[in-house]
Amino acid sequence: MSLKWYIITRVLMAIPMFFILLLIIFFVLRILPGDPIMSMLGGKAPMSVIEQKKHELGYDKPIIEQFFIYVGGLFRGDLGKSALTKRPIADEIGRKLPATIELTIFGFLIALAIGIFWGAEATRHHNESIDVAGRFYAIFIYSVPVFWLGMLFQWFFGVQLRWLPIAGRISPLLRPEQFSGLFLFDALITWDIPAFKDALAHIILPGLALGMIISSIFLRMVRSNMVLMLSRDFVKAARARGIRERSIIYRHSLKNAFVPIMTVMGLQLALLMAGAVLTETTFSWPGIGSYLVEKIRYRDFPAVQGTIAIFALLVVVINILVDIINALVDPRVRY
Amino acid sequence: MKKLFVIGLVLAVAFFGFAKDYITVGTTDKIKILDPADCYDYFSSNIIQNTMAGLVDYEVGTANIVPWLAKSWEVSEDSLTYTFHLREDAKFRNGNDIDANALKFSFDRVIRLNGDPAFLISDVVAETKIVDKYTFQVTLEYPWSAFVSVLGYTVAYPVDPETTPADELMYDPPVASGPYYIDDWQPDVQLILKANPSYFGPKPKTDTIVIRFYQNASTLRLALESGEIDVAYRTLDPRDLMVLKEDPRYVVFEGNSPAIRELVINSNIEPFDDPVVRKALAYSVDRSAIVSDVFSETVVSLYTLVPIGMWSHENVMPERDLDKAREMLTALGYSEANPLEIELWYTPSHYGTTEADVAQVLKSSIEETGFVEVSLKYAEWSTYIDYFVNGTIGAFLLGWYPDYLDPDDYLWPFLSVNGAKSMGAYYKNPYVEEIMLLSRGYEDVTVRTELNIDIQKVLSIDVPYIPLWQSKQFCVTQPYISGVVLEPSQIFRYYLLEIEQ
Amino acid sequence: MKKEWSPSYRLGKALRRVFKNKSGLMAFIGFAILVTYIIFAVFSPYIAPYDPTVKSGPAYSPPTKDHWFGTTNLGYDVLSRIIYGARIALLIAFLAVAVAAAIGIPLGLLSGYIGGAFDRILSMIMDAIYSFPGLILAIAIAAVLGPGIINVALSIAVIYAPTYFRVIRNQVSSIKDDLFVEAARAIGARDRTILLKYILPNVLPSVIVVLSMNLADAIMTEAGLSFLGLGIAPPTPDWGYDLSNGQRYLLLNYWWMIIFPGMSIITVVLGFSLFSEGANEFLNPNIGETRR
Repeated sequence: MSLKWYIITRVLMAIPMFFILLLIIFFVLRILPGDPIMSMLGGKAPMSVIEQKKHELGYDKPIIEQFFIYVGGLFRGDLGKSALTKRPIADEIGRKLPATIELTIFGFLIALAIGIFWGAEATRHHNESIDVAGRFYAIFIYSVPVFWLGMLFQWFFGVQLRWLPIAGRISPLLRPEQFSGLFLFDALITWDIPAFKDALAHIILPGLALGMIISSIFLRMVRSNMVLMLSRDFVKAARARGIRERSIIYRHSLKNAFVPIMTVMGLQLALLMAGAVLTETTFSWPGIGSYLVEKIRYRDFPAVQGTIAIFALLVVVINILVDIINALVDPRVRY
Repeated sequence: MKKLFVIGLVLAVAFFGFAKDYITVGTTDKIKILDPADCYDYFSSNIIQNTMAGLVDYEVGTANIVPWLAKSWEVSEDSLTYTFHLREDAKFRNGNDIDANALKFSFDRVIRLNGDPAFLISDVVAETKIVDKYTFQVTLEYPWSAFVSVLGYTVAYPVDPETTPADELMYDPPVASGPYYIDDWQPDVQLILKANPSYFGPKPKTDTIVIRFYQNASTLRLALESGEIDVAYRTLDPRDLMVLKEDPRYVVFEGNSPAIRELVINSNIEPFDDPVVRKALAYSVDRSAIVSDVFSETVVSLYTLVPIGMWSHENVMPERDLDKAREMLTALGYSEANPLEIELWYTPSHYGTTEADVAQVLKSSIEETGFVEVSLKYAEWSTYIDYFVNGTIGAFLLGWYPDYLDPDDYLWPFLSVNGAKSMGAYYKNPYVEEIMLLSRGYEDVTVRTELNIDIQKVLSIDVPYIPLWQSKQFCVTQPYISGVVLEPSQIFRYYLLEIEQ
Repeated sequence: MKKEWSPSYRLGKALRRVFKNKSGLMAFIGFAILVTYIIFAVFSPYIAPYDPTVKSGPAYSPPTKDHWFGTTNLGYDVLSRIIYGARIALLIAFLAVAVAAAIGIPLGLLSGYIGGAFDRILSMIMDAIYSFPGLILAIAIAAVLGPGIINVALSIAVIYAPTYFRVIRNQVSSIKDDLFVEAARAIGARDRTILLKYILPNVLPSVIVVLSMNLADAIMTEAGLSFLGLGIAPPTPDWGYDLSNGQRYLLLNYWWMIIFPGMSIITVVLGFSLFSEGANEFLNPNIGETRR
């Protein structure tokens, strides 16, 4: 099978999965009692007004019809309007999404850094203290709720030491000119140093909390895959040729261990996003995770649905990407 | 060179620091929409109140209605027709006149678009009419003495007919007609207000106001402490307020708030269908425990529906008396061995993070009788509303924030049959409704006061509600800020704020 | 008396054998933690110094002689809330995992055995749920069901059911054509008998490892839900709720309100992970690090 066909079938296979997720979420949410109109007006406006508004928003149509109207809109990139703010949901999510992406990328990079270096060093010094500490760290950190770690950081670095801000993304007046919506990136390309520093100061604590939680899995992955690699022939050959251990670890075995590591890391994305919801809530990070939690409070169905659809889309897209990258790196995968 | 730069920087900071000519206000509130036809939340109204003008305003510091766009007005014999004489120098910022045409356009638009607050007008207004360029007439469906108070709310503020879409809501800020205009607005980040040169009223004391939006009470407090903001308006945590009050570096302003909180009891649901049970609860709730343990004295106990400071306020509910409560419960056959079992509902986020604590304190205060077992239940706000409007929950915490400052807005929505139904109390008393209708027809305050007191007394007999406490409003500022007025109407007037030299 | 004969010596020797092996030690520590918490949960009224839902001292008290872990904003004893909190945490975790297994295992059996379109559709649905961030799904379901022990357990169960389904289904489809199954079929056993008597006992052991791991994850998810305000109604002691409550007082330095509930979550989850991992490695050293 050519790479092109592999990609096409992979994408086609993902579509039903995406719709199944949409369907589940749609019906689950419609069982909810209460709705945003009640949320705004309940107890004040007369019932007749409330009924009329529900009608305007189409809440009184049969549920199946509502689903098809919804999916129809989705194809046009229209997620509907928030019942609460009455603004297009796609716009609202679009404004929040970069914050989540920035946080997850930052967290992912931290996890990657911890995972690779500690994992590689642990392999190099097998069963020495750094290895044992690594294993202990991995087991321990996996048991730590991300919001607790976040609060601890807030308390220590924010409240005790007053080093770093404990909430938000950037100080209001420093917001850089926007291109991608990723503040760090935008500030860097416009060479807006104060904004960059400020954005960095804001992202460190949430990014570190999120990254550390995920790093345990990476650390284990890297270590176990590299231990496996070290027993392979090419490593023995390299050793025989007198190549330095450091180079064996970082150049030879890390490179070869990378494919399985990549796959697992792709799968961790779901965990990373779940972690992002909690991290965002803890740090009042204005991303789609805290958006989702807020919208659930107000029973703003269209917005909740839209947000979850975006999460689903992210999961599906990233899974495809991971598969494609795997296929590129290791042609055997395609067959 | 580097040193020089640092010195320069310090000087610059010092210079600009002292020459600061704007005031920064921090809040945890959010702006939902700035179209008067749809704006029905506190902070959006707050911005409209500072950037637009209405027919009438509240006198600074009081709940008295004073002329604003309207120089004067008359009410017809039958109390149905209101004629407003408008001032002739009022203009929108784009130069258009604020005339009878603009008012008719805006009133009709509110009714047509049927936004969230529209019912305040559409329920009562029968007809709007342009008498001449500066005379505007409104005819009501029925006599309602509180109508002028409703005009003080943002829903009745006129918008510019030329730039405002007639058939849809407007998501950009409206053209200014008040003391300020919006110079820059980044949603959830900041909003900059600048003095509006075409405003007919007095000039703002400070030309530029920067409003910054914070995620939660903790970050708001940190911003105040770091000097990032000069004024922290809503909302700080009660415990933080208590600490800040003792801190000499800040000034804490405290004022009454018209917001009240009450326990609603559905008279249709067992065991609350028995008025004696409701009364026993009224005797057992411990308001002072809520006030001190949950709110650190940042609220005050309330013994009636009409708030403290408003005319016709009369304490009618009994003081706490556990013996009396036990007596009543014993008469009904309850005892320690056979306790009355009730469910108490609350909603965890709509009223802020303290709500769960309130419910817990309330539970233990009622259980202190020894004859009652309370189980706490909660639901998120919209689910909660669904439950109580449909009458499926028996005892639950609710709050009321007035739409207009008149005792009528604290009695009619609670005690009229329809009002009580939408409040989830399902209370029916034709006698009370009759007095309220009677009171609505009178203009005279003394007569209405007497009638209102009678109505409140019925509350203490039937107990469909147990009023619990009244909020206070707080504003914490740096010491060099003056001009903070915490209004009974809760209009926060940025144009009175000033930096003291 | 000779030392070798005393029971404590022999126990010690047996233990030493366990401890010599690192995974054995891990499993033991995990087990000890779990037993402690189970004792907390079962005997909380006898262990806890105070009623966790009644004001038992001054509010906001830091750790003192009377309140080892301090008190909350309403004067509840933090230590007592932690001890009682074990009840909710363990109860919900066990319930959730039991329900997840009860849904996942039978469906997995059927799907793997029947195969065909039924299998494909069911697998697709399960895969969809499995790949989706569990907590986000649980948030949505918990919001629908409303607060309460059963409801929270159910919303967690939904996200773990696919795990059981997948494990069982894959095994069933790989052994359903094995000789012993063919043999059973040849002697005329009915499908039902084949499934329950021949296949189930063969695939069930693989579930045990998943089970213990899921218990740890379920406790984390429950804590996350109640942190977001979608869990149990206060004043019922719940670690996640207490944490979110404590976060309000971070600026005031009331550290004891967040440190202790957080440590409880960590130790229980750690207990489950150590136990499952250690036991897993101890019992089948070849499998090694299979976790996620």
